[in-house]
Amino acid sequence: MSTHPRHDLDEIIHAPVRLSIMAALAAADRVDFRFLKETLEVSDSLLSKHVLILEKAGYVKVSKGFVGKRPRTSLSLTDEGKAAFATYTAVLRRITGA
Amino acid sequence: MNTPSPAQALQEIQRVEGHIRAAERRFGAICLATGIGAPLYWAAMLFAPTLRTPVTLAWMLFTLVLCGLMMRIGAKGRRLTQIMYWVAGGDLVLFLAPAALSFVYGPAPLPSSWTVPGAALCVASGLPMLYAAWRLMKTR
Repeated sequence: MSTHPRHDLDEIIHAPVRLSIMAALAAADRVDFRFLKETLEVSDSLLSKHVLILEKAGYVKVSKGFVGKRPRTSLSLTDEGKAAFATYTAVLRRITGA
Repeated sequence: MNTPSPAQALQEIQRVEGHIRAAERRFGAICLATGIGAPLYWAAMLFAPTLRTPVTLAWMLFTLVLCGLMMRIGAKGRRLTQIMYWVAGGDLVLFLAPAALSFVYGPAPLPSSWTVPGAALCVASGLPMLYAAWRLMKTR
């Protein structure tokens, strides 16, 4: 049985775009889709794909609304997502000794 | 895209957190502008009644521009959530205090006995937003 902490890394989070999405949502209470897209420098479709994975995992809540006549999609972490990200960063620190 | 190493993952988390902090600082800059503008607005309203119309129009334009900038920020950071209700409550009370005084005296200039309290109310009207600006713009 392997006990290396890297096996404890959550594979849903430990992927380039999803990690960045989770990091942004962990640092903020609510982030707009557009802000994420610009911060992560990814296309709409790639971001949507990864948001959907995180949403299906129960980590991210997606809210759609309007500001004036413009549609606005906002994202936030669920309690489960917050807990998963806290565990994930704790494992990273254990591995790197940070 | 390859799976990041743990060190790269931590670096990416810090990079993204930096973007969120930058968004908070932009919000803080808007609070700073409001905190400076509010006392000037009320000073003109209370002590220079002849300027009321242009100052009111300028204030409306100023707040519209700031609202537009605020909506473009796109991220609501943790620090903003922590202070938002206290600042909004304080701002409501302290911003409306000079408004009450202005309502009581109407278009007439304030009597001289009200100069110091009136000036104090003008200064106080900007304090909640200046506090918010300080909280949001400080590095840590």
